[in-house]
Amino acid sequence: MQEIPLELIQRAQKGSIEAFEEIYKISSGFVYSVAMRVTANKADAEEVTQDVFVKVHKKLSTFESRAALTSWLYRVTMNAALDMCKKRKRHQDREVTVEGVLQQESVEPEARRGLEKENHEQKVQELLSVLNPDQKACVILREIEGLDYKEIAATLDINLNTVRSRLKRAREALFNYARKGVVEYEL
Amino acid sequence: MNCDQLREWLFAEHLDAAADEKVQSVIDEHLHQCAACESLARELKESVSDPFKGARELTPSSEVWAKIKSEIDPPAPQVQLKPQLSTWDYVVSFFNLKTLSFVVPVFAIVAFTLFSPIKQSSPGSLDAARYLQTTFSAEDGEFSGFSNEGFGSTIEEFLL
Repeated sequence: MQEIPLELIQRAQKGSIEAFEEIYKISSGFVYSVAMRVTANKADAEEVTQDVFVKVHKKLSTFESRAALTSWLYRVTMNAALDMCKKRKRHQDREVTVEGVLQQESVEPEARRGLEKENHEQKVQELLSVLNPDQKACVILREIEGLDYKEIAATLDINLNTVRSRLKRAREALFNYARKGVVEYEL
Repeated sequence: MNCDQLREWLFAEHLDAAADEKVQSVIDEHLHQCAACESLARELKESVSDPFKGARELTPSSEVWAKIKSEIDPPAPQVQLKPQLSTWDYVVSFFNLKTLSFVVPVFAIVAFTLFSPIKQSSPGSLDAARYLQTTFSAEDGEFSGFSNEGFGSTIEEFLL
């Protein structure tokens, strides 16, 4: 995630909507990407993004530093996305398939920019669809956001051993999926 | 360290470079000596870790910000403000139809009272009134204003 200038946070704390919009422009990509990758649904990801930024606006006065806002944003985004996943799972109102996710995402104009980029994103979405939401959260924070074990543990409010075991299981699942895919392709 | 033990490290610490120096040196030594584990480590990196490296950031639709903005900064209710009137506007509004319907009759009555021709204090009209009073006054029960000089009554003469 891009760094949010402290000056912007201070202006937003004083009530500047323009400054808050700048904060949104800087960090909405991260929030939406995480939400999209965890929920695998465009409408859910947008709802999560909306909820997260409304919460950020309400809590603005409590952030004393840039780091505080960034780490809080990681935590709130991930929790909101995981909550959305659980909610959807409970309701079972639709089945999420990899094809469905890719189809929804391809509606975005940005997804049409390059076939290579689109294929890469499809690959990311495909791999994440193999994992459960908790494993997804760890893989996204580790592999895409580049957080270390300690930061992941703090973001998800779990201990270091849980981070390690979730990542290990996630990678085993991904590795088996990749090998199976290769075998199927070769056959 | 045997291959099974190494596999435990490969899927976590090795990929994340999270192992301490001592453990990492043991892993490196094993990988240097074992072709199968070295191949597994490479395959693991290519299939599990590398695909996520170039993951691009997705962009939400513009509607999302519009919804957020409407929630955190709702549009203010429309307040009917009184227009700022100039002095001329006040003058014009003073002479509107309602005011005129009151002012004009009052002005007409005042003007009529002041400049009326039948005003009692006027000297000319006082003479005429006295003449009429004299001419039309009754003497011994008869009206003396009539004469037989061919001009009709005195009042007719006066009027002629």
